[in-house]
Amino acid sequence: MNERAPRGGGPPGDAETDAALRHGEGEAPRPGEEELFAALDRTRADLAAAPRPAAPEGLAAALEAALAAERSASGPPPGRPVPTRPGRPRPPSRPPSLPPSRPPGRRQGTRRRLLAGGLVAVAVAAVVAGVVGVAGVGSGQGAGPRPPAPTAAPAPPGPDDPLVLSTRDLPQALRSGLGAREAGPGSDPAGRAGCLAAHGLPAGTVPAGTRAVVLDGRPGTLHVLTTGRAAVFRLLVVGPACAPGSPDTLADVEVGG
Amino acid sequence: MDDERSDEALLTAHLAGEPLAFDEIVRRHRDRLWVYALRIVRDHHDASDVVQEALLSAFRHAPRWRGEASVSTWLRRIVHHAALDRLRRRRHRAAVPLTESVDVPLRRDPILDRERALAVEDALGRLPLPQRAAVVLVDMEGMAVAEAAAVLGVKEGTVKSRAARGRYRLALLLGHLRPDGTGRGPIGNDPGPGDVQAPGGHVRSPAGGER
Repeated sequence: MNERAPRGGGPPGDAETDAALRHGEGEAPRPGEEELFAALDRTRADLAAAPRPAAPEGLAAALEAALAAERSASGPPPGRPVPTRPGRPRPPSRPPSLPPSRPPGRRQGTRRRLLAGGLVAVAVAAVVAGVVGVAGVGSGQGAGPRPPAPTAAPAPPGPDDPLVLSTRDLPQALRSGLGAREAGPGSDPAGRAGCLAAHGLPAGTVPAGTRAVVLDGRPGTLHVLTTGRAAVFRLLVVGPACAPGSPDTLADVEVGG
Repeated sequence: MDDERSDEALLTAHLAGEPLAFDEIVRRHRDRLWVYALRIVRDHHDASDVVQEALLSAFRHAPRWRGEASVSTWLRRIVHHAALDRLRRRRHRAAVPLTESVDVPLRRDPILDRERALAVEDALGRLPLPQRAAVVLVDMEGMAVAEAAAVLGVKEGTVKSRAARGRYRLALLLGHLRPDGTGRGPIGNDPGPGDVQAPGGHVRSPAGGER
């Protein structure tokens, strides 16, 4: 541990240290220590009152997806002791590193994975692992789990291009939609909130990703929404007329699980 | 619907094979764990990575939990170690404060809570890591000394010592204490803007060394 004494500080066990320790024990100040104790009280009050920084919006979805990927990689939950192989290592299951989406100016050269990147990686893992099921009002209604049709896979668009896809291929849009935050009709917070409200979503809902799409030839906006269930995401595609009272739904499916 | 089971019951259910029991534990603790990680590693992205690594580690190693500590304490300990690992890997960034020789009081505006919060977070970042961790757990998260000791893997007396030294140093940094060791007035009487006195030379501060 890199703890070093300040060069200007006194040695351990000096009067201030002793007083601070007694303060921490809840003792009353000795004569002459009143101001010090008051200062320490105020410091503790500041610490207790300091607001907790807000966790990033994408943290919950990233963790859900990471756990889903972990489950896919390692099979069923561990179960209580496996006596014969207590130290058996599990197969590596960390999501692969992904291209960073860090804003310009952040330091480079580190191998940190960003949340958005992690989301895409684990979503890919979930989809590839064949855990995609489709339920909802899209064309896959009642179809149950099925593999994506390779021949119908949309061509990978550039990061700023609308994602061109058909309703049939919508589940595959999860990987492109997660973490996306692009300019477009879905990026305006007020407009987005009104549109999502038209779909019965509570105020303040923030999608895990928003991306412009062309679905079956119709322009729209894909919102990737968390569902509160692990590795299950709702893919909501709305048309340009989506607004309060006008859902303009192009597709609405759940994937994963 | 909220799952009303205790953390320990959920972890037991996870170990018994219940698919989403661990996810509920994550939902309960993720935000607090992230804040703790942030206060240790001092970087939002690193904090997110730390929490993810720690929770995946907890998921993989859940069978090692023997119930000797609460699930909350166990998770916090894993996050703490993950944060330390992250700092070790981040060698190009100082893991110890740059202002070791002099505790310079930070300018603060008592009128603006946001500035107060920033001052506290900034001052925290200047503490040596062991003191910072002790102060965060005990004074910011309200953890009992014994529990903080379990998280940090040290004796209770060490936690008390680190927290006391950290508080003293913070009192200097936040301007509650003059460098000559005297206070600034009665409790609750905030100093006015610009009332921060530049250090006049030698700063008396409890030593930062570990006990």
